[in-house]
Amino acid sequence: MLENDEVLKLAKLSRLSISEEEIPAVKGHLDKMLNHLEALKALDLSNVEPMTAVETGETVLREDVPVQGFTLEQAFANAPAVENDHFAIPKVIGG
Amino acid sequence: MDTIQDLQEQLKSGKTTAEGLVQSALSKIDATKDLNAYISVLNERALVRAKESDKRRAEGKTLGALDGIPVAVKDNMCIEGTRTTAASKILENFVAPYTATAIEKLEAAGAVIVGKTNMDEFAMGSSNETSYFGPVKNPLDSSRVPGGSSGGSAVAVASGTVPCALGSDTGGSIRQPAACTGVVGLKPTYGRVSRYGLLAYASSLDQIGPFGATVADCATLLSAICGIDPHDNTTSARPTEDFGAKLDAGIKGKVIGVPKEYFGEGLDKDCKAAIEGMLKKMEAEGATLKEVSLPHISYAVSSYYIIATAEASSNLSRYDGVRYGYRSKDARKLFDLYAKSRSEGFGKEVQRRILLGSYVLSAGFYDAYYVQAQKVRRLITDDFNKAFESCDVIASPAMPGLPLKCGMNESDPMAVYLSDIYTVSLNLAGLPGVTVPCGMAGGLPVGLQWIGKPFMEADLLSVAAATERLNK
Repeated sequence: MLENDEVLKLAKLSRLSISEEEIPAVKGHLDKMLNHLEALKALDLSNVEPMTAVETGETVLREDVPVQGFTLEQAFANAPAVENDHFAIPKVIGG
Repeated sequence: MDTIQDLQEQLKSGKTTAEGLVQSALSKIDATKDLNAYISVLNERALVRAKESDKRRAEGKTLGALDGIPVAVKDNMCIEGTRTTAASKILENFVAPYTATAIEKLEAAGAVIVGKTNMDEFAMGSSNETSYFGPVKNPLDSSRVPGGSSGGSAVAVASGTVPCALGSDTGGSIRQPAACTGVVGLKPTYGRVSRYGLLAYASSLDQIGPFGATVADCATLLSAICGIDPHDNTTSARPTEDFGAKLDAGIKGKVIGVPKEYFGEGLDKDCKAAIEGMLKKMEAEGATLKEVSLPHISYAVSSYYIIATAEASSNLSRYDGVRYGYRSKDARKLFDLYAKSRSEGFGKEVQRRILLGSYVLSAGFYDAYYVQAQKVRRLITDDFNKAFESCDVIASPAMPGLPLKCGMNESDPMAVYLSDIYTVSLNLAGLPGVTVPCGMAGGLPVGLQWIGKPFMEADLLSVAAATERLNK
């Protein structure tokens, strides 16, 4: 069972904002899910090598050729706020 | 329903034009708006390209089987200059600055993309109910979901607006909606199709693949979109091939593996009867049924949801309200800008998965969950390798029963996760799988999932085509 402060810590790690009212529903779902994962956790797999990705036996390489990236205009086209050719964010120093 | 081949014959004989086909697709999309299968319709762009196709035909320079054919694509694949949303509020107004390789290949083959289809938000769901743009309706039964996450693409084909479509499959997101709507859906081998320009959910599992009314149409689409891509170093260097080459080969002499774990408890009896009925027909055609075992399959859903959510929590960290996407209006500090933009921009299911992913990756839990899930991933892959030592192809249900009733994703998300039991293991092992209708249960089509050896899609589709013939 997760504690409320663990849920809030998880939200912080995830860069999500969860209100006090939302905690029970989030906690309920996570508890249910973690409970389901208990059986997998209990397996003794000390001799098994983890599989990080599908192993195709191929390593595909390409020539390291410079290509044109996005122009400033393209890079900023979807930005919510731009100032002086930079992505703008709230002030983080001096205040 | 016209197939790609039917439409090509009509184009060749002059009975219609590519422009005519696009106009007809656009009016069908308009007439079936209530199904909510499309997020964006690319009217003008499609008509321009259709006219180019007609010009090529008039000059005797037609590109091949897909030239002039209307196609729909899931709205998590980028097309330069058009809106790509992944069915999320966070990307509601995002205009893609480049085009996905699979789409580039499709268009290079002359296909005309008429619209971007609705989906579960960021492809997270099996019901198509998590879309910011509202759920997609199942044209066969409005009380049941069309499956997800590529439900829009499945319904676009099932409702006849287009002959074929592209979706993406991370844990069953092509195969399940195909089964729910009575069409054919193929998840290729991991590495067969480039993921460049596909908005990432879980990168070690994601794969783009086709939907069609027929197996032959899926083969045509896969032949067009497959191949190595310098933009995606997980693509295979294997040469591209004609995946339709073996469709008439039949199943005489083939050994069909039937996993004993798949046909016991948990499978609806009418669905089971439909699948077993098809397997008997195949036996009568000269195939041999052989019991095989996948001993670790009961851990597949757990392993999948750990790995998929872990990768998602990392992949979706890019949506921060700074470089693109939704930004909260009332954030005064940088942390609040991130957290509020993400909480207001992502739907509930996406947030649930990010939180679980953060949990299984966090200090103190990483080994117990994430590494453990990766170990189970290896055991499941080994199980399939062993099973394939004694059979050519494996038969499996696509889903435990009929399509889920609408509303379950909010009332019982865990039950929805568990309905992925038959499909997620293929993504963990990287195997190709195709769902094809094999009979009926409760008045709805039942999907049979064929599982193939890595990169043996042509053989897999040959068995699927035999299923199609025997289901007629």
